[in-house]
Amino acid sequence: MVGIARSYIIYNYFKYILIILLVFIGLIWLSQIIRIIEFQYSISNQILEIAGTTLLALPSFINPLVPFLILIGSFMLNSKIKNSSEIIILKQYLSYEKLRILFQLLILLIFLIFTLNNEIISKNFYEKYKIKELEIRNNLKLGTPAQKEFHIDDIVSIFFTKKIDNTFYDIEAIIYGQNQFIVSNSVEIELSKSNFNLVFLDGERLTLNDNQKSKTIFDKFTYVLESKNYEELLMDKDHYNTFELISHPEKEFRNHGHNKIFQYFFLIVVGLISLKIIFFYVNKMNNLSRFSFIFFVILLAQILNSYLIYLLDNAQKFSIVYYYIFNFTLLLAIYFLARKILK
Amino acid sequence: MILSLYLIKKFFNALLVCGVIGYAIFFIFSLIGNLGEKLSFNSILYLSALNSFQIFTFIPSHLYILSFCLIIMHLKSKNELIIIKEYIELKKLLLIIFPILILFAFVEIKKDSFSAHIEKMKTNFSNSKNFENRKIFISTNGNKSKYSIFSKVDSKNEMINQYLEFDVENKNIKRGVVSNSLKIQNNNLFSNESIIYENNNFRYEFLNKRLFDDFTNIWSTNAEKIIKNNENNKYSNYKIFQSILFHSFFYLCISMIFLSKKLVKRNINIIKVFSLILLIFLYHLLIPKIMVNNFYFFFQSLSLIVFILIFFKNKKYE
Repeated sequence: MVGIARSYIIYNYFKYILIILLVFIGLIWLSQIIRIIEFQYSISNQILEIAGTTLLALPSFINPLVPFLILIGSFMLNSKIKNSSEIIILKQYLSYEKLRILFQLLILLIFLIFTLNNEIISKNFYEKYKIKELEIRNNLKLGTPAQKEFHIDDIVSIFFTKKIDNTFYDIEAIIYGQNQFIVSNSVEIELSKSNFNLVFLDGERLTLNDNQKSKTIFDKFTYVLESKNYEELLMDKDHYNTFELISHPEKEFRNHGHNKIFQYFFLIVVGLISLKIIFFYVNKMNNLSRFSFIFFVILLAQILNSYLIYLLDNAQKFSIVYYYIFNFTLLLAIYFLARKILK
Repeated sequence: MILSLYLIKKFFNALLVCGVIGYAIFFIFSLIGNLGEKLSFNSILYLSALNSFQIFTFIPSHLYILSFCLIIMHLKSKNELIIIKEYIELKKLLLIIFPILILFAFVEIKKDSFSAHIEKMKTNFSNSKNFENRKIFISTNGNKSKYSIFSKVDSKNEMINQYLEFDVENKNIKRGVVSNSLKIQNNNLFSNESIIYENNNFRYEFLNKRLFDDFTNIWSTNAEKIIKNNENNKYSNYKIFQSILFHSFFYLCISMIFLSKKLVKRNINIIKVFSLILLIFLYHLLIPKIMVNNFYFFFQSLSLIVFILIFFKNKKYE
């Protein structure tokens, strides 16, 4: 009986966490896809490519959200067993003492999954994500064939009737910075060693800027996109695991490493609180206000931690010792506050 | 009436809970992403808050689905769903949620505009100069096309700094105008001086000339960066009509699934229902984004028919 009840709790605990994780990570994923598509005015044939690429970034998106997802998962589990009155039966047969080892194992398991994702999975996937993202940007794969428009940032807009590979046909183009308007039979995007060229063939060009007012007819006109160099792969914080971050020469990276260490402790505290939440029961009482309060305290703690990271990066006098003292005091305070609320 | 009010109250409670939780999650996600920016912490908080709102504008339908999910779970756990289904018929239930449905359909239609507005706020705040500060009006008529480009260099100042105009006829540039001395009077855009290319000649014009009527209104109401006016009224009216129907039927379908008889049963296959809702949700999200070169109207009409069929299929079994 006790064994079945234990399995039941574990199963439902992970079920709710997984549902919440899928819902919110799914929403973030979709919003990222839509964001990229909208920014680049593109859609349709690139959608799978963008979806595939942004999918690779999801493991690194998960880490900061895990404590919140665990909290929401435990709110839901509590609500489920409370509404079906299972909580009364469970409390009768399983005391907190009997469940202590099970609870510790649960936290350990979540901690291991989190560590695995934080140190290995997200790092490897993020590397692949950045490479794919650069491939898309550098090959200028984003465009709007269906709307017959092609835009390169705030530099050039090309309106065309037909596109085959990297060549647009029957075009009208605007070069913004130079107030140029071009009408030509075709334009080809040429990838040179270090930047992009637009090669216009058979057309005419009108320039109306401060330095030049002219109209020219050309057989071939090459416009070099000087500000559009190949974007190089910049190594950002998500490319490194905690150990690599801590030993990084740049201060911001080291600070991010300390933030990652804090996140482990944050997760443990939230995990402990979440287990208290699951079995919280006061007869004929709505738990929403208590749970909301705990959720906002945890949210505030994360915002405060972000502020401390900001101080570490920007304030000279704020050292790493202060960071840990402040954060650990905060964590202890939150834990005891939550215990008091959930007594 | 009491039951209707109870349901509406429950729905708004669920909407509030989902909205707050979703906002908190998106806020943390944005905050951590923005921490690397070279801005003050207050600015980072503000940008993260805007980012979180923007995620809502990208996919507003998720709030409706999650809220409905929460309310149904709640009603089912207290066996209230059976009572509601017993006492209120489906038509009345749909009538109760109709105002909420209309509200969400309105948000869906306006979501691009909301998102563009938030993006503009973000740009103004971070002082970055980008494509948002430029609008291009393109009008085509047979072999003729006209490009009117308005640039606003200073994003905080509402004034337009440069006006460019290019006229093309039979693949030849017929006319070009540039003006850097502009002013807005009674919502109309005027130029004090301009350089004009016409008949293979360049000339200066020092006249106070009206360039664009009702400019302020057009600038603020058109969220798009490129506005094409070769679409006739019939076409744009059709688009709006199609869009209203498309979103309304989507929300109706979702509501029908959540309020169906099947969900009252204890042994219902949740995965089946979840998959169906997920498919409809993704379909609704992707279809308006797909632009096909040919048969666009047919394509969009077909997508609408799909929702109408889903709606009537579900209605039939109720």
